[in-house]
Amino acid sequence: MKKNIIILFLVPFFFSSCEKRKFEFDLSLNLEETYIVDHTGNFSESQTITRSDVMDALSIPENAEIESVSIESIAISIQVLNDNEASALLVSGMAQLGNGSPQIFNNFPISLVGVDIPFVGINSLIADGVEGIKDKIEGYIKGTDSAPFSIEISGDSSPTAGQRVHVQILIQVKGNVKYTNCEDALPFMGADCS
Amino acid sequence: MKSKKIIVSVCILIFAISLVHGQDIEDMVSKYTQENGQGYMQPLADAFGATFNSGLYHSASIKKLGFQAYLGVVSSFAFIPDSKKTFEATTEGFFEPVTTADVPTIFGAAESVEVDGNGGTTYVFPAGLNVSMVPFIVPQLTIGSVYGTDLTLRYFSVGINEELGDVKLFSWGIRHSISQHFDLLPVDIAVGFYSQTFSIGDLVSAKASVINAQVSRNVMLFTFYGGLGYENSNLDIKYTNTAEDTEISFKLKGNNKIRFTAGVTFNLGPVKINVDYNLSDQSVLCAGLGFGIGK
Repeated sequence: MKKNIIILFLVPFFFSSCEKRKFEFDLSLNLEETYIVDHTGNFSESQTITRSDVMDALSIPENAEIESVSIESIAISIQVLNDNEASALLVSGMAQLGNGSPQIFNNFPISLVGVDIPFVGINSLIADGVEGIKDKIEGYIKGTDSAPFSIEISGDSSPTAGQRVHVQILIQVKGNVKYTNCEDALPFMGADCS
Repeated sequence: MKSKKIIVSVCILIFAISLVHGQDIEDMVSKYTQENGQGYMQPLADAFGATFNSGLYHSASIKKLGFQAYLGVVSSFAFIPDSKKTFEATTEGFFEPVTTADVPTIFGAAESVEVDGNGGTTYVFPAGLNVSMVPFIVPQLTIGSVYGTDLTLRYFSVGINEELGDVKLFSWGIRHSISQHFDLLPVDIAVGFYSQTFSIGDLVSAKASVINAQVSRNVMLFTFYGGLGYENSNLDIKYTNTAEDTEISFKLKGNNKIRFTAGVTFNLGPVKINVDYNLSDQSVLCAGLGFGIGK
């Protein structure tokens, strides 16, 4: 009798054996590109982003199933360098994707008051450009695309055009990679792996 | 049977470990570096505190003087209510427009919530683990009695790996019989204080304490017991957000303050089987199996 009671008590624990359960993970992606501009008048600088740049910034388990990739924000930061004459800039961004060159943002104004301008979110993003970057990153992660792409920054001094611009521009692309993976867990966690 | 027991033990630990495994926790909450992180993690702090402070007694009867001991295993189950599966979060960072939404906590739905923003952007509020209950199992020793006072100890230490370090729990508690000072009381009454520390390497550190008044009465093979407790718990979580190369830490305080306990112990000679329910902000069902000698 006693033995049966003890067994009855322990049974629920033995049933709680490990099994593979599916979990969703949302991994932050943070890409930063640096541009040095030392030019008088209209400027244009480009930085290339490769598949390995993206993959190195992420740590995704081998068996993970990629659900989606999204771009959350694009921000810009400027450090004013020696002999810069511009008090403000109008900056545009363009994605060179190989199969198209959609604009990411157009004539975004940045005041160069002080030496280091902290990151400012670009609130006038253009969906075509953002979508283009998203598709490239998704292609890299899913292994369907390996061709590099570029983000080109162009602009001029403002309100007086044609001044010497000597600055370091940082472009920050923040995104999210949603993936699912089966992990060892208790049966009352996560979802079925099937 | 031995291997099955090992699997069970590992599974029980896996819950805690899977929550704090460096990569996993980062992938779950790397988005939450600010206030949302507190809301996301808060139910975890509540569940940890509630389970730690459960199952500490199964009777209020303490001998005045003489050897009395109990050695057993205590299992606690915090059932996660729906109210602890979502919280109100606001988009962070440079995402525009700033948007508020009801999103999963760490115990919430295993699906993220997405909000569309300007210019093709999307903000993702991370998914939860879809957890319906949090189990906690620990060995416990209670030994006494010196002038109606006994000591309760809980301890385990398991090395996981180099990255995580050790999972450690240490708990002590002391309680004193009040009823020994009064004749003709129909019930046993005791007061106790218990303090517990738990850690997983440098990633998680938790503390919980409870002070309680306990009452029990023996009826044939059964001991009916209950109590009222005041408790506190803290859970600190620290990890590195590699996407931004920053160290994130959350200091969480459990919401549980007052708990009512009601339970019954089945006394089969030295074998004690007990079940109790703890009603609080985060309620807990608790069961114990052990061997007791003495009163």
